[in-house]
Amino acid sequence: MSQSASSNPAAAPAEGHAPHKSYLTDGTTVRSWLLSVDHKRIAIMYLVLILLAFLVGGIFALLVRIEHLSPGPTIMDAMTYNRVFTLHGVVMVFLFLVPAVPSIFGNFLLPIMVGAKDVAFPRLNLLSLYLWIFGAGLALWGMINGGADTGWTFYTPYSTTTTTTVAPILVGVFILGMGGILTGLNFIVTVHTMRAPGITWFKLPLFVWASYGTAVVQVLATPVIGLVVLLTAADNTFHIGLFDPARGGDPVLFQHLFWFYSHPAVYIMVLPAFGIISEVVSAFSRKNIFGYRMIAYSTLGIAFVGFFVWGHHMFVSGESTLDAGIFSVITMLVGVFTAIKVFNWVGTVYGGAVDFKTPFAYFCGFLFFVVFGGMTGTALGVVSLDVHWHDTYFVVAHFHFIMVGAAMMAFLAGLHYWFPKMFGRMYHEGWGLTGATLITLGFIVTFVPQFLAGNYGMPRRYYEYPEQYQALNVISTLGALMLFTGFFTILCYLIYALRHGKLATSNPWDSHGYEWRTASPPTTHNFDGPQPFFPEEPHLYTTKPAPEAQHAV
Amino acid sequence: MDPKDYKKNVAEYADAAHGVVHSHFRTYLIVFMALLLGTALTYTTGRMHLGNWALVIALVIAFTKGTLVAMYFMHLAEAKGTTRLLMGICLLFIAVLIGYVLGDFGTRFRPANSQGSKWSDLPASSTTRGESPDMPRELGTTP
Amino acid sequence: MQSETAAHPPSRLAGHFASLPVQDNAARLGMWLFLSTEVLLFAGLFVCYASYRFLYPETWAAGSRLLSLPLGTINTVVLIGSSFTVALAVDFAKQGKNRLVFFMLLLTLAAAATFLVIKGFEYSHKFHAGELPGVHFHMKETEGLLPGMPLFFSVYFAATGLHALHVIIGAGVLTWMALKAWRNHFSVGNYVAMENAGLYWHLVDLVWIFLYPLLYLI
Ligand SMILES: [Cu+2]
Repeated sequence: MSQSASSNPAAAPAEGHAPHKSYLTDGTTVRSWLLSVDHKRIAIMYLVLILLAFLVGGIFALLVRIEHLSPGPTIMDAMTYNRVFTLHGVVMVFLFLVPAVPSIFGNFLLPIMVGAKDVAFPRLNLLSLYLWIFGAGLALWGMINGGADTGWTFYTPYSTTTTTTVAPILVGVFILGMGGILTGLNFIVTVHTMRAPGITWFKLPLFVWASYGTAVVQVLATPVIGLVVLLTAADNTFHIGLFDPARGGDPVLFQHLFWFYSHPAVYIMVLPAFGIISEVVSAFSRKNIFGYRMIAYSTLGIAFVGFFVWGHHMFVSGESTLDAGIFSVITMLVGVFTAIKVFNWVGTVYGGAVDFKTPFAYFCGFLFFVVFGGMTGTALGVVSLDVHWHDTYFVVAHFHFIMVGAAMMAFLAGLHYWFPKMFGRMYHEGWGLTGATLITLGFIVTFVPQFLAGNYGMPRRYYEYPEQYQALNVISTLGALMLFTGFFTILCYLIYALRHGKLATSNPWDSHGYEWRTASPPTTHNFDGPQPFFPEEPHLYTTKPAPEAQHAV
Repeated sequence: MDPKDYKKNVAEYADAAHGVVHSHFRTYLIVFMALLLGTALTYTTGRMHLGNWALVIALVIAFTKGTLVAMYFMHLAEAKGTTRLLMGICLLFIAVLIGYVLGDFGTRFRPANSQGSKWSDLPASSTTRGESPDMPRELGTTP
Repeated sequence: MQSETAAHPPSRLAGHFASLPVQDNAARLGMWLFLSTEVLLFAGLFVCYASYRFLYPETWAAGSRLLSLPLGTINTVVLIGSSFTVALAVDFAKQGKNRLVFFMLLLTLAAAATFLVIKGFEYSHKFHAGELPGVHFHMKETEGLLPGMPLFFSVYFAATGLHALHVIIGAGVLTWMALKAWRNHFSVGNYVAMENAGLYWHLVDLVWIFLYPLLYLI
């Protein structure tokens, strides 16, 4: 990374005379990276590590899909299969999806977007990176030495009695959670105290709003799972039996506490993705974002309501029907807030001068997947329907539509949108669109058959399945291979672009986002000279005609 | 940050520069005494066999003591709105969590509750009472 | 934040903050956010407590009678006293009276040590009586055996154990503050570190204020 950076002469931005070095070339030793408190360098280190984690999780996913090519045993035995799907879930959720957008793009862009030189607590930021590394290392160590077979949900009493190594993975999750809390805490304080003169709350870019909402969820939800995983690890190791039915404990209590975090965790994964999309859709439609305030409010709405719906994961776990009913109704509210966002994005594109670049291609895929995933989500939130679909591939397909279809697509949109910002180079647009097409089609081919298989009754997490589901599984596996090809393509041209890509101007997309007002890549302290002043609103492309404004008043 | 807070802070710093710092000793002493009184009160009422009221009284006293600590020792009384909102949300979440979970236990299909508990009609198994600690843990274990 | 810079407040301003008040406010807000995560961490245990108390009310009443009320009460008084001394330490730090800060923190640390020693006695008694969590639970007399009794001790040990861990961490932080006071670090306008350390200690006290009646009394 630092090598490619040192060969990068893009330090001098288009504006000319820049005595300050770009953050990439300001110090080229390994030490200057590992001990850097610069939020941008920390973000780049996160990018490398989290993509490695994604690779690991992706390989496990591919193994699961290949195993399902035939109804019986294909390439592994049942126990290995259990471990592989658990590791896929743990790696993807805790090492990739939860930290990905906040730790990479949030770290890189949030301070720049609020016009600050760094996050509020730069050393805590570095600490959170090392907590991630330590937690991930511990979890991966546990996975290699024994590996859990519980699924990423660690349901008791199985997770406390299984002979596989669950405890180190749980402790790893706890440490990862601590890192996440520190990142979130940093973001909240940064947004509260470090906004540049002129940036009021309602002049914050929508990505900052999304990161802020995410940070609140992260800070308030993570401690609960932190406690639960510690108790479960203690139960697994010392048999304290707090959720052990044999000692009078209630395993459903574990599920309550687990989902109190893990449902809001869905919003830790998708809210920042929504933020990326809000930025991308406005920049590539060349139009003011439609309904800025409604998008901002709906972010907070989702973050808040997300805390009161966790019980929809437990409809068939013995939860009371009264609770189930209440949870079911409140779940529908999440759909309302998400729909507000979707309508606003569509409203932004409507009548815009769309510049169909790679990030916009991802937006198109995203829009379809988030609507489909969201609607199947509200359907699953209905008690009577969930009884049929619970623990089938229908659920698997639903949350992959949200996690991969929404979060992953938005991640890729952001990666392509901000790639010039981060590295000062352009990737090849044609390859970019090819990658987006492969990912979108591969995704559809992988997960639509899973909806069908689930609806026909194929349960999730089973090693073998009846022959009638084979056709759907084979199609799904082919889709997974296509997805893999897509990711591989992206990896290739992005790495190529790091070294050989065309030098980017400081604002290659001609975007009006705040982050594009600095050099690309930015200098170490983001802005040369005093704190900048932002007179305009974010996402301002056309000034509203006066009569319309009067009418609105 | 809120311009109002900013002004307040700047004023505080200006005060500090001139050495005008108010001591809170008297307030702290009163709060300390109140906390000791609360402890004595909760101790005596806790021993009085008041049945269900014991829990209510203990919680009321604990909340009062906690509020005193938060408001005066931790200066939440003069803190920014954000901080107070944050603590309020924490309390709300705890209440919601406890409310939902207890509501679940209280209204679910009774046999789904833990055996031997007040909300189940089934008798306790021996291990629930803790009578045979040597029961093999491996019963539910997969090979 | 070296001690020699204390006399000149502007020099402890980090480059990325607009002004010292903003920087101190950021530190305060950060601390409160951290405290909220601590509150929610303990919330999980309070939910476990509430759940099993709801399921096994008689067991819980019996269980609390197995704990040593005198020791619990002494510990409560000790912690409240330490909260008082910490509050005073913060107050003296605001006035730049470093000697008094040091003295108050010494008292606080003594209280923390007392608390932990008493807790140790309680634990060792529980170990001998077999009143332990989960599978380790084996009480000698049959009279106290009620359904869910092992759970009471699971909650008891988890809650007091986590709290004791916080006491230890808090004592560590306060020791650090005491060293700062010893080196005359605090001054008028430069006390936010002591303030935040104080907040942490108050939270430790706050948690115990709830744990004491819930575990020992009812
Ligand atoms: Cu959910």
